[in-house]
Amino acid sequence: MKCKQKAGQVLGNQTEPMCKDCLRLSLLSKFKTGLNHQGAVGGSDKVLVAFSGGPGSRLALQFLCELQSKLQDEAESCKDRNSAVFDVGVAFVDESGAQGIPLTDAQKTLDEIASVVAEVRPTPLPLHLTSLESLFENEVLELQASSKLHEDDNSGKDNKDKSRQRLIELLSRVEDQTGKEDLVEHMRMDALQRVAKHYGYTRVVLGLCTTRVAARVLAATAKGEGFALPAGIQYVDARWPVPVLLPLRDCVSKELSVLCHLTNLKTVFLKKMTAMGNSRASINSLTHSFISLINEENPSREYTIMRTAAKLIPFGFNKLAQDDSMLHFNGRPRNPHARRNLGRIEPCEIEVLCPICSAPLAKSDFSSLQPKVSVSDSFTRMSLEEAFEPSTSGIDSELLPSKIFRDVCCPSCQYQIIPDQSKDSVLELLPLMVQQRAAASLLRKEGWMREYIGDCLLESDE
Amino acid sequence: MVRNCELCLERRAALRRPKTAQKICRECFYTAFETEVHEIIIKYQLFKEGERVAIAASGGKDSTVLAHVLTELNKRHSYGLDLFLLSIDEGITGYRDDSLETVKRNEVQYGIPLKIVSYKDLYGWSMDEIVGEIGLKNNCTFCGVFRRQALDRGAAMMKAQKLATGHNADDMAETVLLNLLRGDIARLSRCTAIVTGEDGALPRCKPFKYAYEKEIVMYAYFKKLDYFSTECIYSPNAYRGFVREFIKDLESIRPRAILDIIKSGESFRIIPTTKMPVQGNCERCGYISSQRLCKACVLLEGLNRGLPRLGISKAQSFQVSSDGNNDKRKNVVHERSKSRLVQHNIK
Repeated sequence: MKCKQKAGQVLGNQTEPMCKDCLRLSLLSKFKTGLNHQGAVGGSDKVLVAFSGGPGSRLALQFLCELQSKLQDEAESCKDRNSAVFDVGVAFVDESGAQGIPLTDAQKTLDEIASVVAEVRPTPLPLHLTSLESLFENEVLELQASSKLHEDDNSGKDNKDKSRQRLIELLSRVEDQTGKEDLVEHMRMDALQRVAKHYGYTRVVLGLCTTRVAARVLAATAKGEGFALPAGIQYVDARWPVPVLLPLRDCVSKELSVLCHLTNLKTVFLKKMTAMGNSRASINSLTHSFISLINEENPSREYTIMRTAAKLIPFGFNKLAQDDSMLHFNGRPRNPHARRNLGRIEPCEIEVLCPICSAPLAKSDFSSLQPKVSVSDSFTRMSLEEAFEPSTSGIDSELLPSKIFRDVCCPSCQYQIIPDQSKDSVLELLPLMVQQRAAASLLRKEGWMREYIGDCLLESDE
Repeated sequence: MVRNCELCLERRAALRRPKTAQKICRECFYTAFETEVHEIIIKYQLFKEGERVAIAASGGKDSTVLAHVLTELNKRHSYGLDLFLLSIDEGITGYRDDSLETVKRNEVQYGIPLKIVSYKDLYGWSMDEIVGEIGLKNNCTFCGVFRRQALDRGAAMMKAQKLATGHNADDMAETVLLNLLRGDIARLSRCTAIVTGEDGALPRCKPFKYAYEKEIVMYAYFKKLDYFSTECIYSPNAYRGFVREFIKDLESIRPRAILDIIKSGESFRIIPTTKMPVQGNCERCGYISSQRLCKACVLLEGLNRGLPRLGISKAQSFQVSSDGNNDKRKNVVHERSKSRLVQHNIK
């Protein structure tokens, strides 16, 4: 027994018998380590928890609220009115459209999610419900505006139906089951980012745990994504407009589930696309089953996989910008040791990202690109944030030829989402923001190519 | 319905290529398979004209097809290689003795010389005797370590300048995943190399790095090659079996997953500060080693001194001595082991 007081109820850290409180402390400590990494959450931050209904995001939400409440109490007891404490909000992305679940059933799920979030703390948490099809809503509205069809009173409902229909149509055109699942995951992140940006959040917290990171590592390896793999498994992933944090990266799913069970935290089981088919239907479901299998043989295996992958070189965007970090929860700098341990924070290297999955592209993947579209110089300075914001980017990216679009995608998306023979049919249905990111990626590619051949150019304006 | 070959459009399609899912005839399959191996040999400059090359031959499908294809390509494209077969006799009754018979037939069929090196001659122990000491657990460690060194020694005896092994794409993918699962970042960074040991006396190359196991079997099947297909009787390795099964499942979902795993292995960004083993030489036998003593010498000393778990178990703090006398547990060395002490004389 860790505390040597109560009887052990569960094996934590694979071999340590622990009581409920010790398990909770152990997981909370790992969560705080993840959150403190690079001082990722400061007093002025607004943190959006991506809630899936599962034990990971449920505990992330619980821990964050507890930390927030504790810091508020501390601030009040010290009468330090100036020290700000971060805010917490919750977002849920409804994926029922991707799974063909009727709207009535989807509404029941939303109600259930709302009831779980309402139980987290006495003062209600801001809950933002969004959906995958919300990514199309602006476009549908614009289309309607141009065709003057929005005079109908039911236009709001119509928009939703049309967006949902477009989502279903898009996914039906992606033939590869793994590609379909991955596209849903990428769209989920886009939907979360949209909510986070819209409501002014500065951090997005995901409940991704060791087990899922291990499965993700193996799946990415099997998809040939070895180069981009380190990008999505670090504590901090700032390639998005709102940086994403994975504070539960060091906690295994079994421990999270057990703690939820022991502390009576309600979770909602939602069928994900990966769980819908049989385990051999996609690379994602197969890797999940494989991780379960090898964990039976050796429970520490998932840790080993995660730690091995963590030894790969992260990208520049896996560090927060200097002014964005170095603060503890309460807005004050952390202890000097923490500062020292961070080392030198380097400026974020500009990577060329796949417009669909945002994976960084290896230079070898695009060295053959021949730019065929002309783009204004003003766009070469386009920021990542602008690429995410359809209304401000100003690029008419619908003109981007499909061949060029495909060239700026990572090999994995090229194969499983927009294979050569069906690229047009899938491309025309992708959300506009994806098209616009493709234009931004193209500009970055050109920039890289120009830099590469710069020493051989005789005229600076060539 | 009779379907024509998708490549030549003339002959009847006889198979679906595992790598590309193309429905093609046998002749086009042979051409495609051999051309791909040739292109890999040329692209990565695996051989130089006039080189003496040892083909590691176990009598199994991979090495048999490798011997066949290399002999063919050597003639067809005038590589100018001096090829010979190199086999290791591990001393496994009912397995290796049978497979060696196959290799001996290959020697005649392909018209290239054969050299057999045995564990018993090199180390004084056969695998049957080692399994008698260690049991069925960890015996593959002995076999793997000894075989690697035995191949080098056999090749050196025959004055070979290069060693070609039959590792195929499935093996490479399996190794990438195993290294991920074991947390072996150092091996992960180098396990996908098509040529290893380039700085040493005997570089090793893998001409089948991108060849699917299924295609190798298909090639051997249609060409009616003479190979031995029994699994080693001492190799029931559940863990490796899990990974192998996983790769087969991946292949059934997406055939290119095997190549994608290799591609991932090649493009992993390994942190330069990750501690890599520094290559040196074994103080006892002179073989390349990152430690004071090479693994084979450590294992052999354990066997000879009645401590077969020496070099395998980390839990016990065994000490390996250069003179073999000041071991902590020398008092437990029993007489039987002493009498079997074989000097590991390596030049």
